Amino acid sequence: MGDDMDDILNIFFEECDELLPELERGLGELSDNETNPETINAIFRAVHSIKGGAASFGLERLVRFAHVYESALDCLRSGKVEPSADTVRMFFLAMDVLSDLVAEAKQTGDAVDDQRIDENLKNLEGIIQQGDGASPAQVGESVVPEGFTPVAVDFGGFGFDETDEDGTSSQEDDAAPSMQRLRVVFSPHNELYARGDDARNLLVGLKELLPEECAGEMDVTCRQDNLPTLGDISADDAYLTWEVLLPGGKGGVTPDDVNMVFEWVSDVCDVTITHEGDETVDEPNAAHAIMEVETQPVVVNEEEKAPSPLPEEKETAPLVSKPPRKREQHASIRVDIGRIGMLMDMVGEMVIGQASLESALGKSGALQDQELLKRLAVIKSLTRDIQGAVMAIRAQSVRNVFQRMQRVVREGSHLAGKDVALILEGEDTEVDRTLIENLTDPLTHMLRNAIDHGIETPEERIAAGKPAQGTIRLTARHRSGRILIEIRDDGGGINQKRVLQTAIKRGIVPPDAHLSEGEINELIFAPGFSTAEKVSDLSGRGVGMDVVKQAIHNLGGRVSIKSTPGKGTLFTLSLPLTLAVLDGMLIECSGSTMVVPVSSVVELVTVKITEDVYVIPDGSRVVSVRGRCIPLIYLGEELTLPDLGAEDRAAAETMGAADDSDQLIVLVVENEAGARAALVVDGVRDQTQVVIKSIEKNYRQIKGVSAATILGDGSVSLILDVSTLIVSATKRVDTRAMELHAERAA
Amino acid sequence: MSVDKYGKEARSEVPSGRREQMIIFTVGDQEYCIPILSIKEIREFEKPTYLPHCPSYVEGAINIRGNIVTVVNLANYLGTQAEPDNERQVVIIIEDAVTRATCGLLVDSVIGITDIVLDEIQPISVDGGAAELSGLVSIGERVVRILRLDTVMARLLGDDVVSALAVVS
Repeated sequence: MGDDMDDILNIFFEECDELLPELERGLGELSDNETNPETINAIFRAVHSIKGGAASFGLERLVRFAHVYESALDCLRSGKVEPSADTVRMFFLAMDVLSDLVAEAKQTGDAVDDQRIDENLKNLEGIIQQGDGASPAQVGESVVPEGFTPVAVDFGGFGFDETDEDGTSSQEDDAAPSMQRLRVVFSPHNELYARGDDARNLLVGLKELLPEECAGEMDVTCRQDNLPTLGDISADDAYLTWEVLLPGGKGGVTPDDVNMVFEWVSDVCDVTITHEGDETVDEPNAAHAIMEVETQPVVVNEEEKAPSPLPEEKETAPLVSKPPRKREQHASIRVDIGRIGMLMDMVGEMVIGQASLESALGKSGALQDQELLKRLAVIKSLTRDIQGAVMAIRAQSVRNVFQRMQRVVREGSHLAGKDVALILEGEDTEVDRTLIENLTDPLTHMLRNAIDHGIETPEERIAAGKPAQGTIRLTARHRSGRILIEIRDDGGGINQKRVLQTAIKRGIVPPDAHLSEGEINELIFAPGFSTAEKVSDLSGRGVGMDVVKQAIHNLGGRVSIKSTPGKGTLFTLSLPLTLAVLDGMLIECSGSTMVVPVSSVVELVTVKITEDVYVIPDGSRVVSVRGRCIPLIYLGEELTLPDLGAEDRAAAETMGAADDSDQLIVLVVENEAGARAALVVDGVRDQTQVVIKSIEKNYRQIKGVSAATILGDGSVSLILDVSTLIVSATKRVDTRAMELHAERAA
Repeated sequence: MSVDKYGKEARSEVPSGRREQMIIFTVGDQEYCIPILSIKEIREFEKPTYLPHCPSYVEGAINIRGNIVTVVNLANYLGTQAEPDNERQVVIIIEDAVTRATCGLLVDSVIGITDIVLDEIQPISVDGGAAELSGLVSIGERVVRILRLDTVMARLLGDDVVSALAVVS
């Protein structure tokens, strides 16, 4: 039972994860002045769904906030409030609180500061008052739990505050005689029941609209005119029409409130709302006409037969009649990621199986058969397509991550006291979800840096002849099998002089270093570098950019910078499309085939043992490549590969010397800090894409090995961890700063 | 009356329904068994990929439907001699109930399946630390050793996990 609840709760959170971006997207459109009713409805639905779900789990803080949020949105929806820039900004801020409250409920985030909630509630309340004080609190089916009290917010409709109510009550109410009642006539379609809903729910919803002092003043009549004789009744059809009289007028129920109740069933239920006593149109037939269209006459449950005194019949022109609203059909399903992983594995196996089939057929000579070859080719192309399709399932657009950045910029610019707009481009670019999950942190860091260090203050910008509002452009696009993400700000650019001074002060480069522009820019990625004079909330802890570089490198990507003083800075991230697949170079060593990530390979050279290899006093060897000395790693020895002991190696060396004069094949590799090492290998076989498989799931971590993969013949091959190899080869734990130093000096 | 004896008596009163199906295999001239439910499959031995820096009882890694699975050479692990020139060695793939980790056991041959009454298992006293065996059981004339799979897995996953498991238990 507890588990069941947890499952449902998790589904709710998953929904929130979808609804919040939808809300953000909607608000984004509003702020771009693309106001259309569908957008507003969409954001309203999002908040409403969150509220509804939260209420059923008793997440009170969340419910309370969402409730007020919803009420404020309702003013927007009903057109009482214009989506001005200020209003939208408040909605944005409140959305941040909302998503933090969700995180709080999920226990993935810290508890949200009460003061912050109150502040935002006050903002929302302002919006509500600006629009209409008339009972906005009664928005929607009241899913608010019993204990709900509107925190720090007054809703006129409740009659808590007379003056407020008078001041803000809606025109409709003013126009109507105070005792005028609302007549609501509705006839549910079959579909409403098919959805598991019930007319009873609607009646209860209407009942809950009643202000306290009018409790019980609701007249309900069930019209059975369309009810056929018992013999003709089809058990599955809906026949009944309900007529409800509600107290209207001041302090009473407004048509808008009623519409809220029918919001979610408007497409499966005919509703008319009229003021009792308004101009009389001919009447009982209005409802009947509707019924006749349906043609199906009725079944009555005990429950449906609500006892009701007949109200006086006075006829009325419909005030509101809503056209049936189309339900949004989400043509997507939620699938556990583990299942897709399984599918991936199986497709991988299929590729291997097919390759082995092919080689077996080749051996038996059967491949001479043209017919067989043709069929095999069909299967091959199908397999490739399936593999592509499975990868596509895992692909997601970067939209969600990008949109999250809006918030980063919003909060960041607020903290820094700068005015910054973030422009997103190419949000639809798709990459594998494994990558998406790992993009958020680096992007957050970089954007904060751009706001803190890149964009100038409004005064400085105006003085420099730029618009006061800074702009950061975040773009994504595909290029030659990789994804390029650019972060371009129009700020002051990198202050090279200051960067160099700081680097010298921090001992990152020697005082007499002469560096090129590009090299100076690179310095901001050095560990422990930070030019911010004061440590701000945003950045300035000196971990920012080197962590970013590390993270990007771990994802198999690279970062580059271009900066124009006074014009701005451009960071470019080049990343693989997926983390599940890696571009690898297949190398042979001591009879083993291993994989080196192509991203860390600098070059492949043959060197002469007698001329290029030196033994340095501590016994280790270095090789000179283009005048630069690089530590040499005998891979077989380093990894204790079995076939090749020290003597074998010597033998191999001499043998190599005998056969190919004295040549040695070395693969020069580089880690993220630019430190290099040369791997001695027996040969390089191929360059291919390999699927990354974890070793640690079933075994401990192996030094020098980051993961494994499965080759085309089904055998397991290890993927080398170049960074660890380099570090252990140079026998220095963290040499990055020193390497950098040495490199610059060189 | 000693506590031990009392304990034994109490045990004998347990209804004899508590049995477990075990699979019996040989490593060299010794017979071992493990619960059949822990076994995922049994496959031919194929040359695995060597894992760097691995202990002598780790034979290497093989690919089982896209998963990388470590193969343990049980002869080395248990400190016995495998049958010489055995061409028909098999790998028993097991899954640990706790960690869901998978590994393969390289054995000389699989003999068969037997029902073992749990009460008939004679525990082996362990002087601290994790032991390879959890007990002995007699089947007819023979004595079969019961292999502790949690120890195998803990050794593979590394020392951190061993201590973590010790804390849990």
